Amino acid sequence: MEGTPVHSLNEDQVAFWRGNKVGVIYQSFELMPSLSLLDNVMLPMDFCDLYRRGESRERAMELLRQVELQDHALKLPSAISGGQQQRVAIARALANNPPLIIADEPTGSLDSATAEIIVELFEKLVDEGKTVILATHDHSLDDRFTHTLTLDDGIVTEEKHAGSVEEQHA
Amino acid sequence: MLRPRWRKVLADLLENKSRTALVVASIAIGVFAVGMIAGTYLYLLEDMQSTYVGSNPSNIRLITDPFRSDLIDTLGRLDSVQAVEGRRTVKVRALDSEGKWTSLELIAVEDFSQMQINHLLLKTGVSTLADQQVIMESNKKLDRFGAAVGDVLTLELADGTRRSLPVVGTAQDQTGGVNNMVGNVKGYVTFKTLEWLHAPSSYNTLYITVRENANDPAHIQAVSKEIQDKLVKGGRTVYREERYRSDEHPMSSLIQALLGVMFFLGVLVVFLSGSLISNTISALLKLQQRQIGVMKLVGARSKQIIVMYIALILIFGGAALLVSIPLSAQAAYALAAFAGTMIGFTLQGFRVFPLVTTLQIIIALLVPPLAGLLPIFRGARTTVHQAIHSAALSDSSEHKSPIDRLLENIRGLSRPLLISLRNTFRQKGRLALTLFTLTLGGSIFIAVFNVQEALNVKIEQSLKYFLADVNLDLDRDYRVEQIASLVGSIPGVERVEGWQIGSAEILNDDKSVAGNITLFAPPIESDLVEPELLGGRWLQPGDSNAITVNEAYWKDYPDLTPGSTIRLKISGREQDWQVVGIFQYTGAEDYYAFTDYNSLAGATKTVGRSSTYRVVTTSHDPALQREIAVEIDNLLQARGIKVSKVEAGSTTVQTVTDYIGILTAVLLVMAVLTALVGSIGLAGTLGMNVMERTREIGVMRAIGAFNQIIMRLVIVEGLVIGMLSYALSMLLCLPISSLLSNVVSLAIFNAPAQLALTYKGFVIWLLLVVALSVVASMVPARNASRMTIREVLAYE
Repeated sequence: MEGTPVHSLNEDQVAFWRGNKVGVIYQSFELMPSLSLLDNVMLPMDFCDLYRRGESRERAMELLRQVELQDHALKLPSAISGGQQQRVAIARALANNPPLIIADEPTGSLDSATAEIIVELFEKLVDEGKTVILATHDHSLDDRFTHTLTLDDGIVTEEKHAGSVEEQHA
Repeated sequence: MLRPRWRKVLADLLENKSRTALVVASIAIGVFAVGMIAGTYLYLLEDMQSTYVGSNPSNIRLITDPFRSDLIDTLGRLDSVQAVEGRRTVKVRALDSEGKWTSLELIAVEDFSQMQINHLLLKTGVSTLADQQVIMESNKKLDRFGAAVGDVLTLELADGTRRSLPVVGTAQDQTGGVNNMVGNVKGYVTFKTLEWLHAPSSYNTLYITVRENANDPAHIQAVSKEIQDKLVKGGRTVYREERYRSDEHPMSSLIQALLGVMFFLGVLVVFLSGSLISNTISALLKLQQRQIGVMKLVGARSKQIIVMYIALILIFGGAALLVSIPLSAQAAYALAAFAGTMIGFTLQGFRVFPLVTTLQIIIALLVPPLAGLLPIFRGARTTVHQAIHSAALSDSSEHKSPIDRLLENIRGLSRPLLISLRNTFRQKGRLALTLFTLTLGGSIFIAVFNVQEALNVKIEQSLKYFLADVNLDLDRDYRVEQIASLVGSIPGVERVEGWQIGSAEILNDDKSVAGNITLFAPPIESDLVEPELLGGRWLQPGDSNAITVNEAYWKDYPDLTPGSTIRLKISGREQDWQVVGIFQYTGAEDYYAFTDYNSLAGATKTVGRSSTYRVVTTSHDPALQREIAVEIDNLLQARGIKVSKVEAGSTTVQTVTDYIGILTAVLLVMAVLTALVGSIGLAGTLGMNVMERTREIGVMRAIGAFNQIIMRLVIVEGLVIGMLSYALSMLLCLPISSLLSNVVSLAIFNAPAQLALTYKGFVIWLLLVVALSVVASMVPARNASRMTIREVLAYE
């Protein structure tokens, strides 16, 4: 990816590369329970040596503002709702400004209204030029992707680009 | 503003305060113990040695026939001699604080303020000693008289005269060593005072310093021999010889051995707290496996994670240092001061030794990270995949050990008990470390009691040669018949034996003196000696000029066997004596020998007379012994017979046992510290077990387990661990007891001890380990029972 042979990196090199290039979002949010929302967002900058005193804090506040959680910045994850936690997870995924975001069932634990807000956030990121890969069971989202792969027990059964359908049979 | 990763470290510290407190406490105890002992050692090394050296200790001390100052002048002119001083020791009796007559040793000195050898350190009062005044030796034993400056002692002299002697000061003998702990209370007077007390005003003790090589035992011995030969040629007898180096306190090897044992225990405590760290850190990492995964997910490399957790451990260590450095400095000062009053030296003030502090810092900041290294490396290697997918309710059924299978096959126990049993063995590594800690703590605890028992056995061994109920010493020889019938008339007295105790010189083939020997001569039929023979036989009726000697001879005369003859000089007459047996005494280096009354009385030409008596009472309880001692005293005084000492056998035993008691008390402190770390380990383990099973406990509650059942589950688990460790302690305490007994016995008696066991340690530790297990499981158990189903199922 971007000229880096990812498969040849060792565990630590992969971690560093991932921290810089990929934002990962899980269904279960995976925030650090003992850190404030602000610290959670700053953590990737810290580990990837991008931490600058003051600047990093501003950037993290800005990211929280984008997900409309700036007022909760100093709270612990346990003090906010699931939808809010997922927004923090997105803000954290964006911390190092990676070109690629991978989200695994990001709306799976959320009610439909909250899920909608999260999906809108992803659409905004795509508009800003990021690539978002999203795994989901929710077919109601089908027509909002530019490229869809359908997997059935690990096998690609369908590939769809916005506007056209290509059937694939394995 | 701290980086987020350090904020996470801080949050982990504060998240579980009881865990942090336990870990800090356990490191602190180890660091405290090491600091206290190392500090005490340095105080003793610096202050005990320097006060000793500063007192200009005598290299040779000789007790001989009365002499005048011309002998001092003659000896002072010898090339090898630096200085000579003469003193005289007289025994009197004084009223103690309980109103009883107690022995007091008065030492007459030429000029108290101008002493050349064995300077005394004035503690209270004046340094100029006038006639008819006394300066008392200040040490623990002085409490017996409760005498302070301004008090007046009531003395009774050998001829019955009473005198009042005002105390004008107290001073410390800085060379005394063991004599400061056992033996009589001492006071210093002028020679004029001695005359006033109807005692001869001549000297009887020589204090000598050598001119050069004052730290070379061989040279000191050579000079001593030169002087003794001179004395013997002048027709004198040397009754006792003591030799000392100038640079080493006579007690220092003993103290060093004891501190060595304690230091070893302190280091052990450090390692025990290390195993607790290892347990805590691996539990913490297991708990935070997901968090580690997430950190890696957002870019953390293994090294960063390792550094974070090592920093966490270093904070534990740092906090432990903050607590333990000041506490151990205080404790070291207190312990050294205590040793000072016992041994007789003065501390040169409170101080903190940089060496000790450095040692503590190294231990606190090095041992814990080392202990945590393995779990941290293992934890940091977790991949994101492993971490995020770690299951919540796990059963590692693929790795079943024989213990698991055994536990699964147990039938007939209640369900909850079975759950507790199986829970105990779930985390085997953690269980092993906890058991190790608790077992070591327990075995040392039990061992300390066994050591005390072994020392007591050792003392009893030596007392087997002096079994009388009352020991009676008179001021001179009396007819045995007369004393026996007088004392025998007291109700409760079964019989009286007249003994003789004498000293003799062992002669080499060239007639030079090889050493001094103390001879005990009971009547041949006496049963007050229960000897432990190493070779040959005990004395028998019909023996003449036969002796048995103690094992000390073997060191100097390895060829000595029953049947050998040795040449002794007694009361100026040389005679051959036949060795019929060799007996086990305490293992001390001094020469002792037993012969029969008639042989020794024959040699000293005092047949039928004696000044030493052994009284046997009808029952042997201490109260009767003391009662009869008082009656004997009164009766003989009334008949005009001067008693210099009458003491119940139990009192003699008591003095020595007290001394041993102090030693074991100090060891017990160390044992309690190890036990404490052990129980902290247990509490930590149970806490971790409960935390890891939070979800499981929630499920149990969901299916109907109420508070009590859950609490009982945890407490039974604690008890199972406690009992397992107890069983192991019972075994492990045997080698530890044997090792500790030997080290301590070698230090005190200069002889190894035999392993002795007492129920005391086993019983006390059993009660203690049950109590500790219950207490240690109480907090985790309450925490477990308080969790609501909602809380635990939401727990992640």
